[in-house]
Amino acid sequence: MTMDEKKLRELTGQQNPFRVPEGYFEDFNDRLFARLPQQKKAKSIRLRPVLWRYAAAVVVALGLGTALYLNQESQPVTAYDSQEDYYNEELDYIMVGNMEIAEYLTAAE
Amino acid sequence: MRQLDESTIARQLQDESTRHAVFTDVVNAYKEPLYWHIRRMVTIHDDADDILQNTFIKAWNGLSSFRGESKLSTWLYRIATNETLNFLERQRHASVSLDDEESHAALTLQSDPFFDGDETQQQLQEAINLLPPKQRQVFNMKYFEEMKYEDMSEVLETSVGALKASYHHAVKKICDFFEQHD
Repeated sequence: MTMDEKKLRELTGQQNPFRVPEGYFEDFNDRLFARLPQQKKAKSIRLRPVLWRYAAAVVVALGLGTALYLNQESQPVTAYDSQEDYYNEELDYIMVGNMEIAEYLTAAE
Repeated sequence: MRQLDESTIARQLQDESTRHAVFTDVVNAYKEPLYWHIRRMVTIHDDADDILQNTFIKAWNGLSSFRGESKLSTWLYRIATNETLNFLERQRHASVSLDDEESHAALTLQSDPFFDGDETQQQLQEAINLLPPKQRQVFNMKYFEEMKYEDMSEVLETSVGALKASYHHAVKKICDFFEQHD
């Protein structure tokens, strides 16, 4: 006679033959969580009040210095006699056509 | 114990303010079924305990990768199964030759204080222990855990057809074992 799954179940029964130590599942969580990496809270940095004032002063000084420096750098290298001369030169660049550019480039070769 | 809501659990596990509480619920819900899933493969309690802890530690460390695309149970069973199979592979490399495997399996069960099955149950476990690990896993998941093939397919990432073939082959081997030892 060939056994099959049904007969196998009838022969061996459904009872679980394995056992666990007493209290195993009750104690499991404590042992597990003791091994999990703890999440550290981010430390907030607290400065004493007087240090906050120093920090504010430094920020203001840096801000003023940066503004002065940038103002100097923004001056155009080319000095124009008037604002109108500056705009006229810009308009000349804008109105240069593609044919003129091509001719300029081929003449340069 | 709170019921786990699959639709929100991924989000709650990502959120630092709820992560610990929800993970505790997950552990409470799955520690016993996962333990037996592992224990039936490795048979020794201490080994099953180690693997179960490693399973949850890996789950905790991998929470950022769980987005809820698969079911929580699928994800956990997959981790537990991989941990178990890796353990058995390491054990196989370290231990007895294949010739002694049958007697070694029998001796291990006889001397195990946490195994109190009768002679037939011992024979059944000896027969199961002789199956290749992945086939053993398929057999256990179907025979003892009564898992649907579709769910097994997701956990083991194997087709339903291959799982059915593997299971029926395992049943045949176990039945042959009983007939030989009758």
